[in-house]
Amino acid sequence: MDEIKDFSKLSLLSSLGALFLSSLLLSSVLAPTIGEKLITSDLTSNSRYGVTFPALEYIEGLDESSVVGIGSSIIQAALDGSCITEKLGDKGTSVYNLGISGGNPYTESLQIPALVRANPELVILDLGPNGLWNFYDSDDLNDYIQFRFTINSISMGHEDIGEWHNFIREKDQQWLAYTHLERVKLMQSYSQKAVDEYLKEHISKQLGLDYETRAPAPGDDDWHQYLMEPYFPNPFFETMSDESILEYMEEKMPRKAKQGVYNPRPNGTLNHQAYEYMIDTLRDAGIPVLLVATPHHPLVYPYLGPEQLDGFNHTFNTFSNLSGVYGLNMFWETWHSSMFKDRNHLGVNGREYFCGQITPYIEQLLETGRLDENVIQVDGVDLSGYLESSCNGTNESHFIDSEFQTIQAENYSNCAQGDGNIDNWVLKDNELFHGSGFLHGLPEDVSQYYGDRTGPRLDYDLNFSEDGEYFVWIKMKGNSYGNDSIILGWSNGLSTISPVSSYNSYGWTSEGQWEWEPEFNGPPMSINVTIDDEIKLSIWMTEDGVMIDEILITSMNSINPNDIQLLNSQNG
Amino acid sequence: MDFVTPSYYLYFLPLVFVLTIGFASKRRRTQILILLTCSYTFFWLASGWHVILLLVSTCIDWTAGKKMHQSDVQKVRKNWLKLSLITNLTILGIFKYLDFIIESLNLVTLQINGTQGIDAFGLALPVGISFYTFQTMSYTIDIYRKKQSPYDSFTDFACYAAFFPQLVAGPIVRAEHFRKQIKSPLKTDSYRFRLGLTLIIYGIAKKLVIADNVALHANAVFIEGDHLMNTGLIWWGALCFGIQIYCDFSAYTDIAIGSAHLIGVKLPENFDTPYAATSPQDFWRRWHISLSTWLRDYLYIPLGGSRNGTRRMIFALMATMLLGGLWHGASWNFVLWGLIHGILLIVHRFASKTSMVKIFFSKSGKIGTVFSWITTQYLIFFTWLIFRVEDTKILIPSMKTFLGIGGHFDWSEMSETLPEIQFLTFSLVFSFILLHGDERQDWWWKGVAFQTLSLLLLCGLMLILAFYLRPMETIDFIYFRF
Repeated sequence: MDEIKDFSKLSLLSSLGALFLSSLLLSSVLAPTIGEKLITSDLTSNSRYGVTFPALEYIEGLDESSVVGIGSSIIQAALDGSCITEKLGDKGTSVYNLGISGGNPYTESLQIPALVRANPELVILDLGPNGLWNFYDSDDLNDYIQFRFTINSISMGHEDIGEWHNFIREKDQQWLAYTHLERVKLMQSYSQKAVDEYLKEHISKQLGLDYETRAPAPGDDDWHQYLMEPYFPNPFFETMSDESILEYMEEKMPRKAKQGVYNPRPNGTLNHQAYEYMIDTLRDAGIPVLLVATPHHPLVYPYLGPEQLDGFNHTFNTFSNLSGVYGLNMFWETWHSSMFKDRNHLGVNGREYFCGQITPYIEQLLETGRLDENVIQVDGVDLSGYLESSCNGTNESHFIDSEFQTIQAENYSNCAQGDGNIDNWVLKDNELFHGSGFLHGLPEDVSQYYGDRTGPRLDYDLNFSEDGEYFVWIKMKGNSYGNDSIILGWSNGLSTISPVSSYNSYGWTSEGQWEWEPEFNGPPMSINVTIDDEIKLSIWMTEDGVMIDEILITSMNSINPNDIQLLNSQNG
Repeated sequence: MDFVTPSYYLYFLPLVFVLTIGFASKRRRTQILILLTCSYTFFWLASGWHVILLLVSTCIDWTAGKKMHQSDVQKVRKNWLKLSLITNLTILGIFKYLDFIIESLNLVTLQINGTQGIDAFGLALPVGISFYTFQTMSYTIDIYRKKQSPYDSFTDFACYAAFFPQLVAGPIVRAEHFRKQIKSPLKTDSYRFRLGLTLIIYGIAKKLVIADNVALHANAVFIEGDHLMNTGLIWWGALCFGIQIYCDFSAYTDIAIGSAHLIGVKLPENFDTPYAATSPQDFWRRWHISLSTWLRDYLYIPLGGSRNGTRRMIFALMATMLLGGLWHGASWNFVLWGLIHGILLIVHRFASKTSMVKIFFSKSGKIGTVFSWITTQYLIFFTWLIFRVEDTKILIPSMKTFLGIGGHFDWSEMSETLPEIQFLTFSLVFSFILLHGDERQDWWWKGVAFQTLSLLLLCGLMLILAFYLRPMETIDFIYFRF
């Protein structure tokens, strides 16, 4: 080795050492750029994927107390941190939403050491049936885990390596950085695109061109706000008609109901292990945990079997009963269709309602450190004030000046939605009809209101040219016993609604057919009229799926419109 | 194994360094044996059983060299030379050109009688065959010409033929040059070590950052062949390919020279900022210098050169450039590439002698230089277009568009056609154009010698850039195909 000595081992080592150090230095300069671009540009499909660790670092550095919500896109769509923070008032506590699309307990467990360091007053942990599936071998799933672990590893430090590594699958270990060199290697996956974005931003600014960022960067003015109130998912169901939603669910749900997200296991999965780790670590750190399950769209539930979600119930109750852990289980509540963005994510209305629902419990936990009950499952749901008004009548009266007069069902004067149900009268034209269409009680998910007047209501204001007794016939249709009934009632402006009659449509074929009712079961409802009365005829849906096309007001008691073949419905 | 394989830097090169400079220090024969073993191992890892072809070629050239040197009978000497040349050219012909010849003949028979003759053999091209064949051929030719004596030792000669840094893609080293390098025990010093390390890092960065990134853009333009009427796109594609091929090839050379420096061997330079050339002749003095000088010494001059009249010169030049084009690959586009370069050289030779041109350049000063630089580079990049595109359906419309025949500019179409990574590539191209002229300036090498902190930082930066800015998929060295 003399020759090496000749040209100085010290020189060799100093060259290599200086090279290594300069590489390390420059690498650490580049790392934050990559992390920032993961959030602000479209390096990934969603800016949220890069948010977790910079967000927790930011929260750790704040003086004020915090509440942090973590979990999947369900909690991301549900938790409006700004709304809750505002409702909490002057408590100096901010609520942050760190939910992430596609997140599952297994992937989210990586953030727990950083979350503990951030030391929030409370952690809201998403625990719905969708996070309790058993891991399976799938390229999509493996790709997602690779993606999430790689992104997280870029922002993580050595102090973020927690006990979670004990349950990480062998094949996923390669996407995690346990050393600086491994982290540098993982950073390479996004570095080229990140630098391209960096150049794009700076060149655009130099040239005076617009450069739009997808989300604020850590340290930006609106970073704090973004963490409380992320960019919520774009409206989807909100832009669709009830019928389209129904069709969508009919297409998706039969298959979805068989998948893991609606077949939760009671225990023993990697996700359960991850929940145990997350909850135990937070409890050990003295941080209370509020488990939250939000409801799914009401059209989901008819597709689920009686015991299909027992695994979820069992898991939720098991974890909620641990000391320091509380549960707010809203999953079994029925929220209105208009409160959802899609099958399982809340929309604008739902988020606002959720804010109102969860805030008192957060407040109680912040004030007392505990809840009166470990598991809170709300039975009565008061959705008034949160529903979008989706029915508007003509506000016009119908003048009855002949013995035999029909009114098109769609020309109702006023209307009202049902109490806490999701059905609506929807104008349709895909059957025979008179006028501009017929009204269909949708969605048809076998909701029944029986004798209650709680279903959606249609009001028809009537003025008569002559005193007398008038009879009301309804041309209606239903294709089964479960979707063929309505209730009628009337008032004269003075009295309460009285009397009430129930109409059923008899279907002679499996598709049903238009019939004037009541054809067989009793006489038609009669209305006693004096000329000065303003009569209000009301029709309530008692079974969804029922269709009505026309209303016949006649003073002729003896006539049955079916006998005189009165106007088979026809298009237009 | 090649120069972008991590195992080359993690295991192979350090092992060669420790064994030759450390373990076998001052023991020349042992050093050569180690280098020979390592070189054959490298070649075997790169090209498998083709190592036998190298061995056959080496043995025959070694024997031919010895026999020619020992004999004074011209006929005997000539026969040995023929044996050497025929062996080398046969191996080269079979593995590199046989399929090309068969396919060309098939094309002709298909036109004449509608049938295809014989199937191509589909032989894999041995790595570096064009380089080591030319290298050993020059050895026997020089001995025949009595310009040099044969190597004294077979291992020395075998080491020359197989020396791993330049084996695969040059530079094509002359036997006399290498003999001087290994005459004494191999040794290195601080300067050479740092120089070698710097060249290797520089080469890696140039290949992975510039060549591989611009390659994505060139590929997007010429592989899909969409929007061939877009002048901006075709120009950009040709520019990107020109930069790619230079950065790819010169990076290999830098790594080769750097690797050789680490073990005490100095290889000749192969490039001298070719895109600073202001004439076709100037370009060939700067581009692939070891090949162009080989072609000059062993083809152009023997064919008549420039001292036997104009016709002879034109013949010699065209033949040299056509064969030079064919040397690059068995495809008609390389022949066309050589032909155009031949034409450019001839036109330049005649044009530069006309009084009008002489007056223009004598009076125009720097403007004239800039004009000739732009003209030269426009034509050089036009030839790169021919070099890059083998498919005539893409090549012919691309050539027309490049020359402004029927093309149009559409920036949005350009942006949509090019890969997602655009700003980085634009910046790399811009930086390359800006810095290319200074690539071989003295300050750079003096910086290495004095081991300045700024140079270490620069090397660190190059390593980091090579690591972070390389595309996810590494693209093979272009000249591996030749």
